[in-house]
Amino acid sequence: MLSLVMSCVDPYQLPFTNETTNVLVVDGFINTSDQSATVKLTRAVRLSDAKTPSPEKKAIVSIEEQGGAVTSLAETGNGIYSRKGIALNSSKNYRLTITAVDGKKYSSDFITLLQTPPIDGVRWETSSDGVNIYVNTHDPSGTKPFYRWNFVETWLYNSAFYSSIKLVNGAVVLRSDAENIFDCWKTVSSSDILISSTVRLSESTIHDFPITTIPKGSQKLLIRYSLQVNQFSLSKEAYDYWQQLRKTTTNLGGLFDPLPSQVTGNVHSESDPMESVLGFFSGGSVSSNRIFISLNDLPPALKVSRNIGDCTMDSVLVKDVKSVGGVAFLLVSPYGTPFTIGYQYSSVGCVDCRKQGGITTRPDFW
Amino acid sequence: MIRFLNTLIICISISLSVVAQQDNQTSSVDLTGASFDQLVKIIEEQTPYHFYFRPADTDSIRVTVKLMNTPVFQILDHVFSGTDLHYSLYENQIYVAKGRRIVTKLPADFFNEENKSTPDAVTFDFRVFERSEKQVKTAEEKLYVVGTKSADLQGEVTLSGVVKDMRTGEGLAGASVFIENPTIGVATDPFGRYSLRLPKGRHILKVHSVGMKNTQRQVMLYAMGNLNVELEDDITPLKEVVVQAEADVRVTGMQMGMEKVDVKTMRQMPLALGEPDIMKVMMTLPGVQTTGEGTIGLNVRGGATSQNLILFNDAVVYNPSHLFGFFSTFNSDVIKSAELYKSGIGAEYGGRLSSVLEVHGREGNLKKFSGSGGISPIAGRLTLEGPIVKERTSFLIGVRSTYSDWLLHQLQSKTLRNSSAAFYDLTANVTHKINDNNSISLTGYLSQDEFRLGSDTSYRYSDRNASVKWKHVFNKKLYSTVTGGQSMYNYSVSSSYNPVTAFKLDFSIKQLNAKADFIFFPSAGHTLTAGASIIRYTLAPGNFQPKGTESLSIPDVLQQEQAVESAIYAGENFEINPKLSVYFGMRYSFYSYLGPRDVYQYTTGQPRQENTLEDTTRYAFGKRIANYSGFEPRASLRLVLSKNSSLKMSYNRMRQYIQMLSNTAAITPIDIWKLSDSYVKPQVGDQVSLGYYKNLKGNVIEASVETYYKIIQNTVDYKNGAVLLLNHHLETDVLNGNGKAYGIEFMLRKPAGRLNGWLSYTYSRTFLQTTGAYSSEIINQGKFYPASYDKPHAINFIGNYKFNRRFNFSLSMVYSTGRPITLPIVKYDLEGAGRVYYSDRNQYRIPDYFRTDLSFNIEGSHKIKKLKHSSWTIAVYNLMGRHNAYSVYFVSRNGVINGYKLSIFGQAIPTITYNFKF
Repeated sequence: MLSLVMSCVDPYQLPFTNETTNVLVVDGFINTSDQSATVKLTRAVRLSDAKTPSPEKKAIVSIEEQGGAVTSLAETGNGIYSRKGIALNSSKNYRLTITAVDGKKYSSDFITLLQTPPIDGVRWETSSDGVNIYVNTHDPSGTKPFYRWNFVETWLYNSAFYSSIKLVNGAVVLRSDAENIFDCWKTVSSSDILISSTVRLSESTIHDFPITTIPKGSQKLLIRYSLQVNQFSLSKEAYDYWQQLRKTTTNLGGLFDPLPSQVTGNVHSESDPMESVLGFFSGGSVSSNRIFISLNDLPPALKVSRNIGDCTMDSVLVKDVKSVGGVAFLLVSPYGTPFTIGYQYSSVGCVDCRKQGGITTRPDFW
Repeated sequence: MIRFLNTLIICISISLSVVAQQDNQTSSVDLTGASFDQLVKIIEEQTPYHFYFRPADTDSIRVTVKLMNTPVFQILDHVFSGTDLHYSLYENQIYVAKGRRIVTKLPADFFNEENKSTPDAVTFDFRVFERSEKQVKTAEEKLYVVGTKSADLQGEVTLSGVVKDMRTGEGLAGASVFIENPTIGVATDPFGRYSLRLPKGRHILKVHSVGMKNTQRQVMLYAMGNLNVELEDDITPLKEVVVQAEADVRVTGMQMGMEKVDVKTMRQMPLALGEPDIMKVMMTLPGVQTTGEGTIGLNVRGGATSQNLILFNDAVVYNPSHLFGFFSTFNSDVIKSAELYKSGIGAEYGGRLSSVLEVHGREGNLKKFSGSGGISPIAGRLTLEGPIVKERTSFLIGVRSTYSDWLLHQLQSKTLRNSSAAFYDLTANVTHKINDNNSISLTGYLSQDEFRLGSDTSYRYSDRNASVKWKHVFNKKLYSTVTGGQSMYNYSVSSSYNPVTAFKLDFSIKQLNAKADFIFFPSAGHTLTAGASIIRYTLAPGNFQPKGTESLSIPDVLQQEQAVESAIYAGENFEINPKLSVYFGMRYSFYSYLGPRDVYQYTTGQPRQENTLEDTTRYAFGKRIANYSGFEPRASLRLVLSKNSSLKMSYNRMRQYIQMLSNTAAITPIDIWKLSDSYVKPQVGDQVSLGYYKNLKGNVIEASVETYYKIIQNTVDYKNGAVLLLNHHLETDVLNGNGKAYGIEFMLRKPAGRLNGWLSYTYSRTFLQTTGAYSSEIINQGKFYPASYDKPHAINFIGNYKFNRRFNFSLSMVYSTGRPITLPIVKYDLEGAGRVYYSDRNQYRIPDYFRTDLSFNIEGSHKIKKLKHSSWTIAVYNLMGRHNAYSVYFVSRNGVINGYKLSIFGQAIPTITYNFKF
């Protein structure tokens, strides 16, 4: 944070490390809102490796009620183990047990299932730089001072050119509405750790906790934007865990910032107490709230018109239409009246909105 | 050659047949860009003349001359024109000296006829004769007769007196007063007094003090008596004394592992932001390191930054840094000198493990009103001083303030425009000489810092000290100093960005202390010291309050802590013979942690955690909660091996009852201090040290090697991810551990000459280990791991080159191994974003550190009687603009992990400062 005085920041290349890194990562949650449990198991990889963390397959994963039933979860692929319709009892404590494919056994501490208070509102306001979104909540019981949020953003955007025709087996045919590749919805989950506590406040009230900021001119604000906030009540242990994890990934390296440290959660190896196990197992209900922001809701200063960037159209005569049949180009529209002389076409990225990461299926909530 | 010169002075005093040398030999010289040595060789070959000179004076001369059959004097006139060198001829010997001619004739009144009828009484105060500069010279050459002339020159007598600053009349502490044949010497006490047992007869008494010109007195001792000596300030505009001592304090002095820095050395150093800074000079000395740029915290021989006892006029300073640590809180204009003890710490000091940094403030000028100051783009300072009652009472007041706030506001970045940073400090001193045997001195010190980053949280911290010191002389053999004072350090953090969560957090620490020290000189060779001290600590470790009417923050006040630390000590310095001296000291300290307080009890056999909290014991006011006590032996030995080499050894044990808790890399204003209690035990450190000192090339170069090994018990360490602020049960996050440190320090120093400076190399290691019984209380599986300030190799070079009296150039180069850090080693996904998992603590290092600074000093004219002396300092910090890493960190942004290297100073920083003195 102090960096501002005269400092500068350069990219840093990590030195090669050859420490063993076969660390199990557990990301588990029992959801009392829909009586389900989902556990994702992965293996961490060395930071210098190009590959992404690999899923831990063929493990035996169960949820154990303290002094009660054991429910095993089914592997649904990609390291995810889940089950729906579990008879969860909010007054009971639960833990997670795992037997990895190498035979090692792991278990979590027993956790209590917390009832999350409802979100009072998700509010947004504009500044000259963009849109700031805040969450507000309060806990009438005053017993749950720790909160965590995550959110899912979805927005509608368009490709540069609306394509009304397509080339099928060398013939030009009209696109149906179902084949529309002009309107796309892109969905992105939050990656920052958003936590807050009301421990130092006399009321258990969260007032305008900043969730995210959408900068002016972002693609998200061009047509319509939606954001769903999920709110979780945390136990003290879970709050400490997330806080430490946040500290080690977001505020380090400044003059007054704490030295980084190893952050381990509430899952432990049963055979070797020194073995590091990452991730956290928690449970409770989830409160959600969704908002929409349309272009028309924004003040004029933030209404930025769509920029088609480098996209240009070219034309081709009817007889040569087959030459744009490859994967690089798509037809946009016919030209010439009353008779079609040829077709306008452009590169795939300028015509097919899916190339920018979205899907053409309209979400249910839209 | 220099030895020759001294014998000469004695020779001429015996022989009266001084005949002026008339014959002028001729010589032929044809040289281009040759050294002075070459010229000397040619002249000596062609003539009967023989040259005597100090190579340090002449090494910068380049001789380009073509003169055939020319008188030698004419050649020398030519070569020396435009330089500060002078020559004189005595018989066939040519003496070359810097600054003035060697006098080859006896001064008037050499035999001191007026004093012939002196009664056997004793006191001569020759001060009256020494007022003008001319008289200084006479004072050096004149023979002082002490006692009535008699034929009995058997046995020893005591010579005592006071060494004073000629300009201010202030007594000079730590000056060495010695004769060389036989080697007998002593350092002046805190009042500037000395007392020496010398054989009767003729002596050259030499007096040296850092920052002052060396001087000497010709003494004829018949009986015990007094001789007061005044020393001149060694400021550049005044002339320097040429005669150089043979044996230097570094070799012959008793102290080892001590570095003394005076204001002059400090001013020559090229510095960041154009301010001379005593702490930054300390950082360039061997065995002293710092975690990074922009920090003031010193790591001395493997000690943590909180293990240094920093005293300003006997009051403890808790946070010596201004403006995030880019400045130290000591205003260079009010400082006389500073001493850093790394080993061989005397029994009079205690309370911190690693080192003692004693900063001595100046006392006001007793003779006339004067002032000084400076202006740079960042800060300005002004100091005024003068007599209140001439020769008896003086005052000194110095202020310093910054306008960097203004600077920040000029910047383009919005965050920076909303930031602010400001500091000021104020030092005031009044000294009153009640009579010859009593003086009293009052010092007040206030420093305050305030900064706000962005528009959010603002920080404010301040040190407030007051001390009173009474020096009393019982008789010539017994002196005492009684000191009382109060030191306060407090900080506050506040935020009013969000009205609902607006808060203010206060922390404060207050210590009241009193101590009495006695020095006794029972007989020749013995110096006894003894004393007692008591400190009462009151600590308010956290007071969290809502700010504004809308705030819903709940007040949260941590319980106050209080404790009493007392100590008694005695030490004896015994000079067994001129070759061997020993020092033994013993300190006994006792400490009580006192109520009122509620103390938490934890389940035995379980790790201390919130969920193992079992019971609370309430202690009433003044009730002892925990007691600690112990002996702290100190010993050192000095053995002179030859005329210019010696061996020194020391051992000391220190105890520290107040710990700083910080899990950041640098000293931050919001670090917490914690008194030792039933869980956090006091730290104990033992250090053995061995050093070899040798002066080379006729004392032109001082060389030394010191090595040490240190063991620390009960170091303070933290659990991973410890929360230190507003923690009601700190014992659940704090770990006790052990530490060890060892190293070797090499130093080559050329203290004088046109080119002067030093080069040092240090190899040092520092390791820590936690000793908990549970996995949550163990760091790195309980193995020793490098401390975050462990930097094995460090090389420092400081060089000053004086082009002439007005231009001075200095260059400094600093290299050190990068400090250890904890690096992320693996990555994983959690909640859809990439996260990292760190290695064991401190297993990797940031890139090595290297920096070059330079500065030019341009002095105004050198008329001594001028109304105002001024100078300009142009300095460039980080000349190469090297991006030295302060730290390395990793950020997961949009699921991608990126590593960054943060540098505090990313480019060369030029500054210009105007200094004045009137």
